[in-house]
Amino acid sequence: MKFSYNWLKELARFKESPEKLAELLTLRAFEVEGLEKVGDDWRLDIQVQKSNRAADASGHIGVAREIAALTGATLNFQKRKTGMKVGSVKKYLTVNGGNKNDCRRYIGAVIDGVKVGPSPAWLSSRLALCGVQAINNLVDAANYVMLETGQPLHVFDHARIVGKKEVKQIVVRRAKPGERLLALDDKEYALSEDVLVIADPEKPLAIAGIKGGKSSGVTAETHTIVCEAANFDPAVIRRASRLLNLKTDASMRFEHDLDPNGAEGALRRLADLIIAVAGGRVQGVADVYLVRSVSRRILFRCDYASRLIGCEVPLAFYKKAFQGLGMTVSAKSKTQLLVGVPTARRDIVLEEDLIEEAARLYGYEKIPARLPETLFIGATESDELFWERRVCEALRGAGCMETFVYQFTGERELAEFHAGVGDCVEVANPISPDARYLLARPVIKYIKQAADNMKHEEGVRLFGIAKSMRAVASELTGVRERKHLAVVVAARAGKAGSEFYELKGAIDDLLDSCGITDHWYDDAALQSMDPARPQMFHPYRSAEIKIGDQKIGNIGEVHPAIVERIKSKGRIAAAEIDVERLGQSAKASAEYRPASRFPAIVRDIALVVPQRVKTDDVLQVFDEKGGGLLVDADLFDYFEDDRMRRAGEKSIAFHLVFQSAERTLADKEIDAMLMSFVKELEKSGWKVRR
Amino acid sequence: MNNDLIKIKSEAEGEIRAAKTTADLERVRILYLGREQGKITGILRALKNTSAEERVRVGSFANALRSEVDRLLQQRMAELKKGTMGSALKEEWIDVTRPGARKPKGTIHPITQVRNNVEKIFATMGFSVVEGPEVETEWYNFDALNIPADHPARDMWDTFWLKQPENQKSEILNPKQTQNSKLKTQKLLLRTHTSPVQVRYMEKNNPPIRIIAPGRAYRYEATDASHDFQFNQLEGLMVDKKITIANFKAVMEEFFKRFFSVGTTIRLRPSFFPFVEPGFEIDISCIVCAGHGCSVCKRTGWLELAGAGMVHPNVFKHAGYNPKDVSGFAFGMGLERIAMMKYKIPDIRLFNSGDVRFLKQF
Repeated sequence: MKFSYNWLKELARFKESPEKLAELLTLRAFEVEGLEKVGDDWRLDIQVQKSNRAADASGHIGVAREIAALTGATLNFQKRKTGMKVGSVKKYLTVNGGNKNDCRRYIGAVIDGVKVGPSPAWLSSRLALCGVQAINNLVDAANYVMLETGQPLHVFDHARIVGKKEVKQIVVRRAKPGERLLALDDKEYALSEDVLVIADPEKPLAIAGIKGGKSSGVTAETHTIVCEAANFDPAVIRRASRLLNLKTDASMRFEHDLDPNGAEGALRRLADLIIAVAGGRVQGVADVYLVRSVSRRILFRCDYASRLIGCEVPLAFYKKAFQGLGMTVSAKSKTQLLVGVPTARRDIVLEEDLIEEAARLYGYEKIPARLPETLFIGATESDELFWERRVCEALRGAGCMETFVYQFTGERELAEFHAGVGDCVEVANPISPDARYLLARPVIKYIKQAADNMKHEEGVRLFGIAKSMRAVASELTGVRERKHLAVVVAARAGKAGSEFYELKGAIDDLLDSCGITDHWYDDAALQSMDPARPQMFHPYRSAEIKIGDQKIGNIGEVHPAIVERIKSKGRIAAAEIDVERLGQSAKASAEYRPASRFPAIVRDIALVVPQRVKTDDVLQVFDEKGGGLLVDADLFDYFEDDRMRRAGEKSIAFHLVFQSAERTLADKEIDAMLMSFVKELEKSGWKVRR
Repeated sequence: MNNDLIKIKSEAEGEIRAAKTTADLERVRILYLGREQGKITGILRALKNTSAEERVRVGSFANALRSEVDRLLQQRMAELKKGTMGSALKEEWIDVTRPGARKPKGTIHPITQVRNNVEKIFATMGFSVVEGPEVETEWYNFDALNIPADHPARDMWDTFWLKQPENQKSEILNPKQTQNSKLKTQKLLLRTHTSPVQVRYMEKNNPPIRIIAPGRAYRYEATDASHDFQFNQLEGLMVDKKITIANFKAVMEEFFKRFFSVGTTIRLRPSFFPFVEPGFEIDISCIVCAGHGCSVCKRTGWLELAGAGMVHPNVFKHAGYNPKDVSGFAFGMGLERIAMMKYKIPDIRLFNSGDVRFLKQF
């Protein structure tokens, strides 16, 4: 909010320069975001609206009070000349305040004999400094007094209000369905029962607390006016303002819960100012005060305050600070004060609110830094976070880059991945159609990022942990949130399927570093599906990652149709793993086993098998026949040439390592074991090369 | 026999001296001491066919000769090696300026690095890391934090609201679930800050409490170089019987000092967050200019880094604590802002871009 330095100085006779004042306010009260010289004045941008002080400090008087409390300067407010009990308002106006839950107070003052014209220069230039456009002397006066007091004011043309002859009738009520109002901004608003209006017996005159209506506004011919200073329920004004999508200087102030007592002083000041700049005479004031604002009294315990602050602050300081803020203070005991809070300070409700006032006036910089004197309890780390960190380190070691993704997706992106909206959670107010849903499968974002990078890279390896969010009925909130680890490997050139194996190697290393050795890749479910069915992965280059019977994720080459659609310049292999399940299977504890003292015997075996025979099928034979002596079986060659391809065959070769913990193995027994392998392998019709 | 030995000795001495390379010397060694054909080896082996007296006489001499020749061989070998080592090593020259064999470079996201660093520092002060859901209820995100509906304070957090999942609408009518009806009927949203974790944690744990809660948060707002609608925050909470503003200052000072590894001072300014009272803005003296004023701190000498305050009594009440028994402080900071400052990153949107040209720099 914009404030005039000269204006503030008129109201509180402080000596501080504009820069000093800005610094003082920033350190003790409100952040001053801007300071700018305008003519012979300065404009201060004080962030009152971001504090909870807009109720008392959204006008120059409120800020001047604050400055006085900070500097000890004396206040210098204009005396009000207009009284509340002048003339006979009944000849001009009746007011029905309506529901006290909507309208706490309504004051209407009738002034006749005004002359509409331009405002004097001093007035319009102050308005300009505060960012308000000058219109005519009546409207300008109302705006000026709002900037001074914080109380929004409005001026109606008395002649344009309907009543019983000259006695105009103002009613505060909820709008009726279907009612419309052409407002002063020349826009027509459709009203509803959620909107409070100021009306006469025939029509709404203004949207209460938000904007005046065109039909009852001041014109060049206006000679008699009704000045309004009212107080409305903040929530009612806020709801209407949001409903109509109409925020104004007035609605902002009312939303912050103004003090009904402030209406009176503001109205009298407005009457004085209008008479000064437009002439006329006050014919009467109608004041309907439905909910009285009363001063709060709060018990303030100095020992509690000092305990919360963390250092001893003398009682005399507290007393002086509160008095400086316009509060009344009486001693309740040697260490307790009873503090009477001015009704304008609607933000002060609890003892803690008073402590804040005292502490900021005392100066936060004077509070010493002291480490807490509590029992030291060491930090603990959850298993999940421990494994997350381990996973990140393992993948970094495997040459993968961690990346972050947006948690939003849209129909277009889902369609790219052969996915529908399904059980995605929908955002009620999406930032764009492409971010209408929350991400259910984070891996798609990583695949997209890989594709984007392929525009300028030969290959990329990305990973990250993001949230999967799905609508799941059994969840308390209806949404299931789980962490997913995504890993993607993309490359432009390379042997068919090499990305898959690179990725698989990274996953194997990763699980290995989490102490998981019994994981396996199950392609049964995927291959039983109709390959023509649209899906994320290549149906013949994908598998479920399992530990025992439990599935922890998927791995596969991204379906070629998707790769084409997202315009990737290379094939992409991707894996998604449920982090919680991974964490449950992970084991940090390792146990030492002595290395065997006896030498190992290494034998190679090569065989030619039909193309669709899986490495696992062969390894299974070794496992069954190897007893405890085969300690390792390693695929070291995987080969097919054109001739073999035509014959539907491939050649695979293994290193087999035999070792015993108890004795030196004899060549003969290993030869015998190899023979048993060969016999078993040949049973399946596989050719062992000798 | 003895003469033979003496002759062998002088021959051997001569040949050892004459050997010019290690290979020559090896030939000499085999000639005299070789296991199969060595001259001295042969004499020693022939001893078993001679008389006991002869064996003693010649044996001791031959053994001494073998030791002597062996010693000379080793001595000469050492001399030769010394001479050839230099040239041999020279042959093995490699180009050390050739690039090393590097594995593909993996990296950790800068936000994760900052987060790990922050967590590490707070862990040494006894703060444990906890997490909370990103899909939140209106209760935890707002009301429990003393931000009631229809209150202008809500304007501080532009919110992504979620449509109630279809499956949930019928669930609300399920009488079995009434104990959770408060949550069931709550509107869902994406948390606008990590502060809901405060209440969730206090509901399940008793003081003393020292936690930090990092995680994603969301704001319904337009993006620019310094704003994104999805970002990372880190919440902190310390609650005990007598926690003070002075304690808060000390903990934050300690943290910033260690995090930026330069002497920084902090300053508190009054600020308003509904879930704290008093509320502060935490500034630190500019890490670039040490408080003298530069473009990073907009010439103020200060950087605004976190919002904080003493936990509001209403928040304690909502979490099931008696505010009379406890006090505490809470703070929240944006990890992107800290990372942008630390690494001089000009645009917040780079963090979620996934561009490896950005990622590989960290």
